[in-house]
Amino acid sequence: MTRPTGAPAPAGARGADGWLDALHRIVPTPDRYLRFDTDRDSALAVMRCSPEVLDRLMEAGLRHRTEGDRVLFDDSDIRNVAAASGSGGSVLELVQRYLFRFAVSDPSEWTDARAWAIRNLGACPDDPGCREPWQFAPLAAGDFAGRSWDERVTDGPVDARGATVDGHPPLAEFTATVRTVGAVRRVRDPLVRDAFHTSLQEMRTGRMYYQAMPTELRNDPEAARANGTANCISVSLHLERVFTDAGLEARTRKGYLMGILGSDHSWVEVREDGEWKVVDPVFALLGLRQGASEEFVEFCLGSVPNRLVPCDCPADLETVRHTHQQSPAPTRNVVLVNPLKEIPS
Amino acid sequence: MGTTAPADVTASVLDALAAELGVAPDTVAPDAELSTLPGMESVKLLRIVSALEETHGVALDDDALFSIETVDDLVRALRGEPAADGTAGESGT
Repeated sequence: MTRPTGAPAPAGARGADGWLDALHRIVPTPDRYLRFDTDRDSALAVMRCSPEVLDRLMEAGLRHRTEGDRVLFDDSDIRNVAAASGSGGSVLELVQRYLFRFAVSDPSEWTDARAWAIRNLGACPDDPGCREPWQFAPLAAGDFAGRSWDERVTDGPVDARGATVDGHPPLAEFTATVRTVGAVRRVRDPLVRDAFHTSLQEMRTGRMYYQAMPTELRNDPEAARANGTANCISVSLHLERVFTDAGLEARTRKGYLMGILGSDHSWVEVREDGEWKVVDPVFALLGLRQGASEEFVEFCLGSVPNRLVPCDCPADLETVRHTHQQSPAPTRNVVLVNPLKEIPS
Repeated sequence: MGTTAPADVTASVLDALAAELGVAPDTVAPDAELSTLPGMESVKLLRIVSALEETHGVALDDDALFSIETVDDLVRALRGEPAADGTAGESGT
């Protein structure tokens, strides 16, 4: 069996074989966190494979549950098989490839001023006609010397011109225009630097497999590490604990990653020399996978990329929240970004 | 830099649009906005771009990607030609 490293399958592993191989390369969601809440249409929307490939994955052991005429899957298992498939066409593969292409461009493009129109569409996997309320975290672009305009929440059916959220109709949206600008900073503290490089190395070697996790698991960094898995949230919460245990001032942030597609993202910040510095080994990992240099890795150890928009959002909450009868309910969301040619001052 | 003949780039773009969207290639106008084509959404657009990058052996940089609005824009970007606003095209292979 191939040792998991969290890296996608080698390019060229097309067809069903790449998918079947991926099924055996991921770390399955632990039983106690399993949630069979992703239906077949939604799974296909995330994976972008043929129904025949999904059938073969089910025959090969992809966990699922049949309820009447519905077949349900674990959302994280679906995302992780897709990300590891090497198909090149699944949503997560496209997000990672195109969001981090900037990492191989000239370093000046990591920090120059940019402007973006952002839409965060929310959907309810339980009920396509759900009328229960939604909340979206407000932007905090000013924390990175940026600015936002026209932040607006629409809680009700959304005209997304046919776009779906993993196959579900969007039921609410957050929209805004935002200006971002990066800054080159460097963390000096050796403890922080060592922790960053240790975390990055854990993910590069596969000791910690970089993959999607259920909310409860990714919000519990000890459990995630015991499971041998890591993502941006679990890594940030783990590093925040390491830094604060050492007496440093640190905080985990939630926000958006801007590009030709958008994404939610999380990172940790440490206060040094009177300013907050971004510490983001996941950013470094995904940049390296696109061919970035060691200069980019160093950039991820203190600098503010012009692709990050922080939100005013507690570390254990999501940028989009949905409730059923005032209790937290499952959500799906997709972040759509339109780069703007004119940069507002 | 790819060595694809210019005419082949246009044909390959129309073929890729047809394959992903299920539209007939001869019904797509060169100045058509990609976002308005039937069934188009952001992930499908990137699947089309990804397939075309592989076909032509190029990787479009961010600014080239950001400048693509029409079918012609996509053809120009794949050819490494500047966009209407002067944005550069590909960034190597």
